[in-house]
Amino acid sequence: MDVLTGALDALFHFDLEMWLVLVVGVITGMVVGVLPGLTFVMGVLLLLPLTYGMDTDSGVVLMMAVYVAGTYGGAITALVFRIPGEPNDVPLLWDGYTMTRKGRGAEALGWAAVSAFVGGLVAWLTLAFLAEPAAQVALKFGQPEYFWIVLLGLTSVLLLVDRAATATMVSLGIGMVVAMVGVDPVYGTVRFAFDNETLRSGIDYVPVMVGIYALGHVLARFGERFAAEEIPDEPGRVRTTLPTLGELRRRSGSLARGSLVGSLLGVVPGAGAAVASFVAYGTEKQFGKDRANVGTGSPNGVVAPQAASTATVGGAFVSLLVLGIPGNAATAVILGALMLHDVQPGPQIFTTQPELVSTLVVALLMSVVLMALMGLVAARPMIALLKAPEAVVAAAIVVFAYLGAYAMRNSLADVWVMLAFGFLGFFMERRGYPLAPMVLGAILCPLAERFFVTAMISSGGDPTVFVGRPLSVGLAAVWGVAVLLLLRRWVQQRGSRPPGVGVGTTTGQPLNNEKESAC
Amino acid sequence: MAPVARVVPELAGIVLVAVLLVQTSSLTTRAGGPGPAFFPRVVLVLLAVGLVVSIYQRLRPAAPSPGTTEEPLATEESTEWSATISWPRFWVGAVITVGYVVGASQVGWIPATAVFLVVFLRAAGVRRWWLTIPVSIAVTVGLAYVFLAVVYVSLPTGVGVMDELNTHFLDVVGIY
Repeated sequence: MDVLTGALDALFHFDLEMWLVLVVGVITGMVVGVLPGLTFVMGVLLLLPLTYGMDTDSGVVLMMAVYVAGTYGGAITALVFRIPGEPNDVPLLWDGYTMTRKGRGAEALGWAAVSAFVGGLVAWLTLAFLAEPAAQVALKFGQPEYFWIVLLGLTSVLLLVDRAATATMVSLGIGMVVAMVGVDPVYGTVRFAFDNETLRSGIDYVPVMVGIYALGHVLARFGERFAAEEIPDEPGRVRTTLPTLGELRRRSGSLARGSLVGSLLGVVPGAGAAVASFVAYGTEKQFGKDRANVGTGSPNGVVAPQAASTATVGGAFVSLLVLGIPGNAATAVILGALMLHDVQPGPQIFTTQPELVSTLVVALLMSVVLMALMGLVAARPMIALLKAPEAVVAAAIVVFAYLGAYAMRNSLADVWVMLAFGFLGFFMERRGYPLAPMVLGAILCPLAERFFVTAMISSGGDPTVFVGRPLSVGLAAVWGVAVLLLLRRWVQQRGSRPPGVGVGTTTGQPLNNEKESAC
Repeated sequence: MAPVARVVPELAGIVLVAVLLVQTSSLTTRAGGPGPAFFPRVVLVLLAVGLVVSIYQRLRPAAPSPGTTEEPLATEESTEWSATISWPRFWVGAVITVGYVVGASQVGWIPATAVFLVVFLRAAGVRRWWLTIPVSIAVTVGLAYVFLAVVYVSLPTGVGVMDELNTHFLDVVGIY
């Protein structure tokens, strides 16, 4: 209740600047969602340098608004033009675009807007009502419990991919090695620095992310001559028809399933909006009331994935604020921004930074409302953005990538790191190595090591400390189940699966592809 | 292509892992616990295993047998990508980007960014000089204003005479 009271108080204290930040954030999120070359992760990354000079609340609210709106913006172009702005919009093509082709485009747009709104509301409810109780539980966690949670996160990255598990493992390993460069946080020993001052001060994950997500993408698109799908000259009259209450009741099961899937997967490191969207679509096709029609233009094929995409925001923020563990790339950037402002997320944040938490809770709700309004009134201008020359957008990305890397520590070394990882990311992706696991490895590895080593030191080197309490035993058991699932899938694939058929979703859609996977 | 040539990056990765593993032998401590070398060793060994499996997958016959465990590593998307990418063009983009990073550190962010925007857009096929040059300059100065005067983030001003020139310029346009 404290969080809600605080949120209400924060809402009344929102000044003009905060409202402006929210509106700018939502518009930016919609824009990056619409433009196929820009993802919402990139949007959050590119705005990062602007937040350095802001106060913590405004900076994080800006990024949160981009993140929320970014999970929905691409739905508009996916439904109207069959151009998914974001990876999580891909499932919308199968039924949503089919609806458009059958002359039900306005209905599809309406369902997408309502689903994003409902998913966003569920995300808000998750953050407002579950974060604080979760923090009470997390306060009971010691180093061993945290170690199991981070290990579970690392394992889930492998569990969530379907094909190319080896490539994912290599990518994860590279990220972990990158994170080990520099001074070891527990012992203070310098590792893998090769007498180089830049390496000695460590490789921060933010320039790494800027490099692989922003710069690598620009280099690839430049090499592809910015080739894109043909966009029709005139989108025609873009209308949005909202469903009636009766229709909403009929689709309430899909809305609930999608929102639940999104909320749960939002917490899991390595999942995120794209995975949630695919899983929600698969769930709908397998268990939905209208499952026979999913794939042929059923609104349920729009409702479930869109609700899931937006609902992930709540789970991701719970994980970030309560455990200090980012669930995906967007919250990883937000974690970086928080730490730059000397805010350390964790269960204590509810007592040390209650105003910040309240501001985030109310900002999430306002972002969801503004996003839905924008979706209803600004669909046509958003579609017009597709005409923006990609070369200009790409040039802007490089400039903002430079600023994002440099301004973090006023360090040219970080710019070189960004550049190096831009090239590394480009070549890794070309060889089929997904990039998201590398980022998650770079973020989760230092946490895993710190929790493991400090637990071992405090127990005098006794490894039974990791199963010394019921909580840690429970978490170890969950991790064991995850490993067993991994092994079972490996054995099953070895025995029977024909190539090309995915098992990550019931639709046979691959989850391991970088454009469709974690972060 | 010779089989070894197909796995050069993975082999290089294994060599690098071996070098790093050797380095861990110098990581010692008198404090308790597993020591600073323990975690890196675990990760490096797992990475080496992943790379070895990856090499095996790349070297095995192209047509997978019914008992295949995993897809070939290149995804459909990357296969399509490799078919459409123009390498000379990629390297042009790469050189321009590297030139921008080097240039910003030597001549300062403002001139480097203005030149970068013009050159990048030209290389990307935007031909309208009369538009790109003034817009690039205006955007650069505008961004400099936002970051230096509004967000209070410093930007590189270059070295030697360029440092002085940039500082003077910022002074003249009222940003400093």
